Amino acid sequence: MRRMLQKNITKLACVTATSALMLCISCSPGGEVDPASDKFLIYNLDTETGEYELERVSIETLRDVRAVDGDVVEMRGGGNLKTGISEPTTREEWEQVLLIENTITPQVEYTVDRDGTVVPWDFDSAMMLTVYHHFERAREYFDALPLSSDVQADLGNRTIGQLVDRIPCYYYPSIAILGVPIPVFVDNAAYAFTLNGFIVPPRQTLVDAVPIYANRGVITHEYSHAVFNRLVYNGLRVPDPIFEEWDAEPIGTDPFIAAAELGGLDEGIADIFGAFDTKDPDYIAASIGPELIDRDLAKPRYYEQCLFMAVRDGVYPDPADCGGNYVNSCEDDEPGCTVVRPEDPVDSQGVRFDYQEGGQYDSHHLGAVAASVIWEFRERNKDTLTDGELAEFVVIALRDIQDPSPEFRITHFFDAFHAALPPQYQEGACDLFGERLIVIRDELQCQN
Amino acid sequence: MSELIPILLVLFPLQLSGAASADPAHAVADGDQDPVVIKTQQPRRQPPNQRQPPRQRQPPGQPRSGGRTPPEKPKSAFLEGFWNIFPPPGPYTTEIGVAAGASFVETAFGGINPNAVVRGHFGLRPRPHRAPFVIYGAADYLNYRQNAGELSYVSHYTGLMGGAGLLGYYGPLRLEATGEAGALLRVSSQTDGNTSVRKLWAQPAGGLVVGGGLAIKGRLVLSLKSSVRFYGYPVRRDINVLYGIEYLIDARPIDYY
Repeated sequence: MRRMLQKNITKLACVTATSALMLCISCSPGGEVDPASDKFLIYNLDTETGEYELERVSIETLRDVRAVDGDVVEMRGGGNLKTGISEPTTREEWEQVLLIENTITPQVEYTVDRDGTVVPWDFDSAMMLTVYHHFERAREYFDALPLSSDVQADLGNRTIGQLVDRIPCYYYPSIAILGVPIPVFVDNAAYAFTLNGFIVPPRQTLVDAVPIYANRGVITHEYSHAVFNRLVYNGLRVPDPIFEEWDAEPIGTDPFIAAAELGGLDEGIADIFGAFDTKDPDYIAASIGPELIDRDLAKPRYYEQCLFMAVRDGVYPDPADCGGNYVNSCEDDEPGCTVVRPEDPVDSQGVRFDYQEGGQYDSHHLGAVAASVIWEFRERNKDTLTDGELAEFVVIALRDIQDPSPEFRITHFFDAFHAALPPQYQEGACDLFGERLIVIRDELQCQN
Repeated sequence: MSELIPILLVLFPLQLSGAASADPAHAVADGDQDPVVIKTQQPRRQPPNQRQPPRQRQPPGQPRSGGRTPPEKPKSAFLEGFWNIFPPPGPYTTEIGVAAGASFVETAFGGINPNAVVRGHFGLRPRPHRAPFVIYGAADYLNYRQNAGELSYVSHYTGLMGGAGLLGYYGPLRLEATGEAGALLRVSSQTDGNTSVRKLWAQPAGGLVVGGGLAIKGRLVLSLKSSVRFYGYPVRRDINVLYGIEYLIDARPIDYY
């Protein structure tokens, strides 16, 4: 009896071992990948429907799939984001102000199906490949812009993608105090000038929507910051506004305003390219609802008094001091008035803005205005002007304002954009600028 | 105090085993507890020179004679010492256990993903003082889930491991360090709400476990173990901390220790 039992156990063990071995062989992890022909199952935007979905796509520039390393981005995993030199005096020292240390080369897990589909095995593997894909698409977008020969010559006959070159992307670096991660930089995406790197911080609360870094528009937005750096600052990792600390000058001075407006323009250019690439003026809404951030470029937005006071002073004013108001605000003695000052202030044009009195100026605010102006111009001329042509005018204008001085104003960009337009579009552009850029209207060349 | 006697036995087996046999009270627990009964599942092996001679067949018709034992051969002092130092594997106790705890799965970017893990095991241990080792089989399960809106990734990890290692006793405490090897069955599924993909993947795994148990009443032992497991290529790790309870099938802790 015992012998029979032993035999059965031995047989069972053999069958189990053989099955496990066959399983390993039949579905082995990893495998050879040919990026030129294989497809990757990643989370991508369907530009027809505007929805994100798992899709088999090409990623042609990956050199090392497992490490997510290619010609566009070198992925780096984890690490600690920390401050380095606290009082820099040279540009080299400024490059050491922000550091990301102890990163590792990622090791994504995937299998290769018989049809050549690379299937990532877990969320982070899929997301890192997704991020890489989106960066590759962003580079393709810029490289495909129909730039004139003059513009190409101005860029040294190099594509914009070549100017940006290969950049590290830091996936999920954390900020830690005494080794304990602190969730102060989460649910975001960034491009850091001084690092010349993209940063994809961890998710924290935005878990019910498309991850920010899986959002195609967001990645194009971040890539556009690198483009802005190459076109306006000629690739300086520490441009003058940072090195000379224009934002540390007294409020209301030229350098102070120039720093604020340059920051706003940088964000606006990133917003507009994100919208051009995705054909969606509210591309961010797939990841962050309008109740949190309202950056819909299709909405009319104005460079009006409230925003200008924030640019000039560095903090947002009381809406009552700039012709603005609070939504549904009413006087205490009005019948039925229960809420005197609800949450949402509106600017002098009645547009909601997401900032409270005393809050620090946010360059995304001016950026949304600048981008919405260009988007509106696109809408008014979309029958005759392509997005590619519009993008070229933006590139020309950016080159025109390169190496900005402390006297820079955002009007310089709009003047250059206006000048780059074919003559038949200039009058309409001037009208639009005058209509939207209220506080700087008189400074626009076309208005004089 | 009487409960400490087994502790001392564990610590100083050579001295106290003789004392225990000389004092029958050691074979009986305090108070109204039943006498200790050591169940064995296989005959205790004896040193070669102490084997009993084969029983001689009695001629038919003769009445069975009882009580007479053959005279003992003189013991070799060398072998006595040898078997005391290197005791042969002997009767073993069997046990089953379940545990639950936290698992920290290494992610593709080098981070960790915290999860819950459950683990069950079946173990064999030679009785104390016989051989300081344990062998066991174990199965564990954890899953690793991440969602982003309709996008969802779930990885199920089922480990089938076999292990062996060393153990030691300190009173009611048992400490052990083992190595284990086996297979990790992973089922990975992903969906965006419309498209779903599921993959099955088995891969070899190995690991190290350190921890111990604390005997409590009856046949129960509380355990606390930590383990690190390596699997896949390139190698991934998960670290587990497990709290559990073990049931000694054929011996009570007081026997066991």
